[in-house]
Amino acid sequence: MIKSVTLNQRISSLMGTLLFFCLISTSFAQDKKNMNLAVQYVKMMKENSLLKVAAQFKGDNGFEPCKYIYFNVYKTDTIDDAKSVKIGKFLTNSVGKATYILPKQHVGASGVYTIKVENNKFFEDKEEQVIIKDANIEASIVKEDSIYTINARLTDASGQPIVGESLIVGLKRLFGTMPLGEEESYETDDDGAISVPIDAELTGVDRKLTLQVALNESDVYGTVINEQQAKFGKPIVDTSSFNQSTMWSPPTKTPLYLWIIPNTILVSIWSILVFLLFNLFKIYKPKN
Amino acid sequence: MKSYEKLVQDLAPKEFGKKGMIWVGFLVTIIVAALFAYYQQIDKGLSITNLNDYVLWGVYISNFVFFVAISLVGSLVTAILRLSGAKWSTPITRISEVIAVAAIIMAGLTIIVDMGRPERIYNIFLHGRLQSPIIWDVLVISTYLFISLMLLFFPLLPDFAIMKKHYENNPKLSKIYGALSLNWTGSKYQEGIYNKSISILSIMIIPVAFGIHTVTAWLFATTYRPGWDSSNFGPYFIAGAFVAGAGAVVVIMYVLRRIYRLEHYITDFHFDKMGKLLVLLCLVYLYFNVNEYLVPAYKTTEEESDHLYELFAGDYAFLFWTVIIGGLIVPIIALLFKKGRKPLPLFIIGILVVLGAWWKRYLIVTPTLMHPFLPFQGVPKSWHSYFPSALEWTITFGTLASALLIMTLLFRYLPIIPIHETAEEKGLLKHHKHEEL
Repeated sequence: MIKSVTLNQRISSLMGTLLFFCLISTSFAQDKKNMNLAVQYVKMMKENSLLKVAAQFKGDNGFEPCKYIYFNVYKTDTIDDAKSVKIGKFLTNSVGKATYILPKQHVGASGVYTIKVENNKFFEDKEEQVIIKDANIEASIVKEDSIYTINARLTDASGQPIVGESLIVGLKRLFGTMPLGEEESYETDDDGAISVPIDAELTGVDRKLTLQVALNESDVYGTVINEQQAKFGKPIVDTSSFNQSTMWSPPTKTPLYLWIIPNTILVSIWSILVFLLFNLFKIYKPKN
Repeated sequence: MKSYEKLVQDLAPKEFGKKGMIWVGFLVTIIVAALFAYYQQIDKGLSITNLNDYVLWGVYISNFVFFVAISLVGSLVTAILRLSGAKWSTPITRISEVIAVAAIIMAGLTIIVDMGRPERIYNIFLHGRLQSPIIWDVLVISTYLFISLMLLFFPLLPDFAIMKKHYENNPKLSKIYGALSLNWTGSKYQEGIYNKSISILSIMIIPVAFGIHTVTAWLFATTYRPGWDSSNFGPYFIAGAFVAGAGAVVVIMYVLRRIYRLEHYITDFHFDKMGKLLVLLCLVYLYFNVNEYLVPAYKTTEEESDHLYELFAGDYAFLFWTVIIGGLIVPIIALLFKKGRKPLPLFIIGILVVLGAWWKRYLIVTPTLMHPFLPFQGVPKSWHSYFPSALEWTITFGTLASALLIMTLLFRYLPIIPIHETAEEKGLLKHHKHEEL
């Protein structure tokens, strides 16, 4: 027997199904998290221009890194340009950070770079933009009256000086940059230039120093860094005992006396013990 | 002739009686329980013990140090007394040699018990650093074990030959004793090698015995910790080891004398001598104890004074004073009197000394670990104190029972008192040989 189904029943059944799917999709949507993105444009003079990205989300244990997430990178020439071009993609590391080297053909006098996370299983779509005008730092080290000075000049893409920006001068070290000079930063003059004397007592491995002049996180130009190699530092004397034979070295670098003395004692004792074992044999098989 | 035969009859190993079987059964039961506990420990790791990140050396290492201490008695009685010409020690040399062998075997095994992943022990030999006292300990323990076995075996050669003859009516046993005697005939040539070898072993075991306990002390002293940071630790450990070992000999010789009716061979005179030796050793050890506690107490650096407070008046005070008074001062006072050196009182004192020695090792190891230089932070509350778990106790008792079982079995099949040496000293051997000719 065929049951007759009324229109109301059909509608209510359809509504129920729709409601069910809505709930399911809502619950899935709730699982997706919002991420915070921080993007920094860095131009290393004579090297590459980079985008440094840090992504995190608010998890159960406070802010947690968005690890191993793919991002797409888009570029347009101006902010109004609707034609953005995808220029590449990158993956964050285990602490939610990534450094993307901008292809040289996509670095110009100005640019708008957009990074996007799209269609991710765990995170909502998100994008962040940096709008950059190109700038350059030229730097040189000169010696006058036995005093070394670093001279630097900040210019825009057309070579015009950029006036009134703060430049930081520092010495590159293993875990960061040590500021140099008496000021925290130096403002560029009408010619876009600064001049900072350098302490002659700076130390470096093989006298090598890496001096750095940086325009730091400018809203217009991003970060621009110029590194200069110099060889006038006081040589660092390596006092590390890493390659020496010490009491705290690995087994391959045991001090010689520790090889000789205990082994001499051990060999002596065990030689006597072998002799005594031989004595047992002599007792077992006495000479006729 | 008759005297010699009686001597052999008296001193030849005897079968276990009913009590002996019960004793062996008791020990085996404890060992089986300990093996089951150890299986659990291997299966689940050291996390099922009460050991933690702070007290990583607990009852197992205390027990290990105790075994090493006890093993030192082999060198004391066998070597030092033999070389100093103390003939009275002859009846107890075998006892001390057996104790030494059993203790050093169990010391080696106990250190393995303390390992979370014992199957990785080969890494000690593959990647061990010669700079580490742990490697020195491995080397010196294995050397000492070998020397102790040799020192047990060499003097047994003539006794094995005697046993071969004595058990002629039991061909199987006689054959085994015959094989172990290495064709000993007592010829001048064999005697020469035999005497020379024992003299070499007696001399050699002394520095190695000092080495084993000094190195064990260095395991602690080379670690910068309150209570361990002492240049005195080597001699302090050796003095304590002599006390523990002498106490163990006294206890075992009393028990064996009672069970095997050896009153004619282990006499009151021997107990008196051992009592005098024990009181001397206790006094030396007391002196080292005063040194160990007085100097840090005078300096009172913050960490040392915390540590000493815990021992003198804190959580460990009861145990500490029980050990010092019960295990050292009371024995000294009692042993100064002749009556205190009689067999039964000396036996009771011996038990006190051995128990005191065991707990003293516990007091050396644990309280120090409870006082790290960095304060406890962000760790479970249970880590703020340590007392061994039932599982740790079971395994520890298992190791102690194993040592006793090794001794029991060796005493079952070896003459407790050296027959050949005793006969020689009593002039029976010469007479017996003459008769045989």
